[in-house]
Amino acid sequence: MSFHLKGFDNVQESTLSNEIQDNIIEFFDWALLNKGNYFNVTAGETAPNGYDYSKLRLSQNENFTAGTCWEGVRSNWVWQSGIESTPSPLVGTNNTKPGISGVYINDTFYPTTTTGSYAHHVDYYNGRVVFDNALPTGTKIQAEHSYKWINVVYANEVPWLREVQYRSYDINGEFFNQSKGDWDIPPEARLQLPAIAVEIVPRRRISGFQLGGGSFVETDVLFHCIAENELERNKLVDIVSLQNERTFSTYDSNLVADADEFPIDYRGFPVSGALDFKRLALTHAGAAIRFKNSSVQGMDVIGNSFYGGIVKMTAEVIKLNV
Amino acid sequence: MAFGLKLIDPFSVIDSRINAAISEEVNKRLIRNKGFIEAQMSKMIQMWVRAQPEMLEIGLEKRLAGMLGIRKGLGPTAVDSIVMAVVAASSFRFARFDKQMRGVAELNFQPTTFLNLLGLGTGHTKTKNGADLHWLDWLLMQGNKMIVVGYHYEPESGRGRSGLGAMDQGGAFRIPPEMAGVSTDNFITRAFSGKEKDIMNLFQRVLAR
Repeated sequence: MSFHLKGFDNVQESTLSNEIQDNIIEFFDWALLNKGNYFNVTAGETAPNGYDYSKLRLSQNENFTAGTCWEGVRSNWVWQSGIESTPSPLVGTNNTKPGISGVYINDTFYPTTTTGSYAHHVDYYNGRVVFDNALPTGTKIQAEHSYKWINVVYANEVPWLREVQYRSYDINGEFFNQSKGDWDIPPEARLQLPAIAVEIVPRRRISGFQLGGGSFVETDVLFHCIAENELERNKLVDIVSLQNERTFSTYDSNLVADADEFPIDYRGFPVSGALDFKRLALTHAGAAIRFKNSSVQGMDVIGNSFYGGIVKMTAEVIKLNV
Repeated sequence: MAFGLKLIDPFSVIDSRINAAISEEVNKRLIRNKGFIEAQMSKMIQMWVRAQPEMLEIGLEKRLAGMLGIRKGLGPTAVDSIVMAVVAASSFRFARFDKQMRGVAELNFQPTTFLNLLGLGTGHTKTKNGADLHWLDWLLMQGNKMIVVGYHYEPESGRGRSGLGAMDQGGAFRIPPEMAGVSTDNFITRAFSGKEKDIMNLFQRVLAR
């Protein structure tokens, strides 16, 4: 008999379902990077139609002072270093400023450590550079960077909630033309494809782990694999479904919070010495997650440019305090 | 006072005599209780299937009934017909045990094709335009696929066929993931999952009768 709830210490803490979702997203994001899930964009690199992939556009996002926010053609830039895949992503070596080494303003390079008029920060998830001071319209700003190809996101970012942005690799005049087209939707509200959206199914099974306490906690997880063509969709479905019986290490968000070591700050900027997923999991270990019961549920074609597939897996965690 | 017991037959002979005695008793009780087993199976199946959240939602005409567009008043009938179809598809097969205790006492539940359920008329709803919506197929076989694109379900009392809500433009519709099913994992398979103990208890009761 007890007067205490078990399985968590404090209602302010992150609990299991959210821990599972966060860790699955971060695990896939990290593990895909190490399998080459990025494209490098060097300064002045041009598309076949002559547009510069590295050139940033002035954002129409009203949350920023006009002239301070400049965004790239693709969001979700790489900030993590030490990626196993070659060639490496374009990130600098300054651990106090993880990510790209700086930006070109009117063809002059300014490192991320720049102070004064051109001081800036990089919001990697949204693929944009935010300056402390406004720069005039027409300023030529370029950034050498790497963007992630497959975006691993939360399911509440799936298309029926967000504006899907098709052909986001194809840089064109519309990208630089303000107040026109879906580029004017802020990156927070658009989803670039291909993407894997992770959804936790609100149903749970619990069974005994060992004499004396502990439980296997099983949570079903849906992976919505979304792409602009059938081949890419099939690739995503293969990548996810083949992780059946894969066990991976996780981090405990509560330990990360206690140590004040979240790698990204409230603005989306990596903090000094930011830990990537692997180092987070090694430093602040949570309960390992095992995937099982992988099944593919449906492969849909919706419209001409939207291909969806759903993989369902069970995430099994051993909770010793349940 | 002390007794001495000497076994004069070899163990194999004693063993086969015990098996013969047990098999005779088992056969006698299973034959005598075949009707009882079938009646108990029927009761258990009804209880297990009716207890599924999907059946409660439809039978009590709650959210899922609205989402599936089941006409007001038809939810309980739909549940009854599903439950009775599952009961009808179950069987108890018995083949006498011989002196080596070789025999069959087998309970069969729900064919994996689900044709007995997919063929039910109550699993369909007709729209005003005459379109046929096979909602039981959505629930049993279609998993988490998007069923309708361009419309989403909006709960609102008094609207739609169910009087619980209707489709509005925008978004998409699918079965809620906690209730979605495919042939290997749906509300019927979940109804039978983990029921081994109940079945064992049934046989224990039969053999003790």
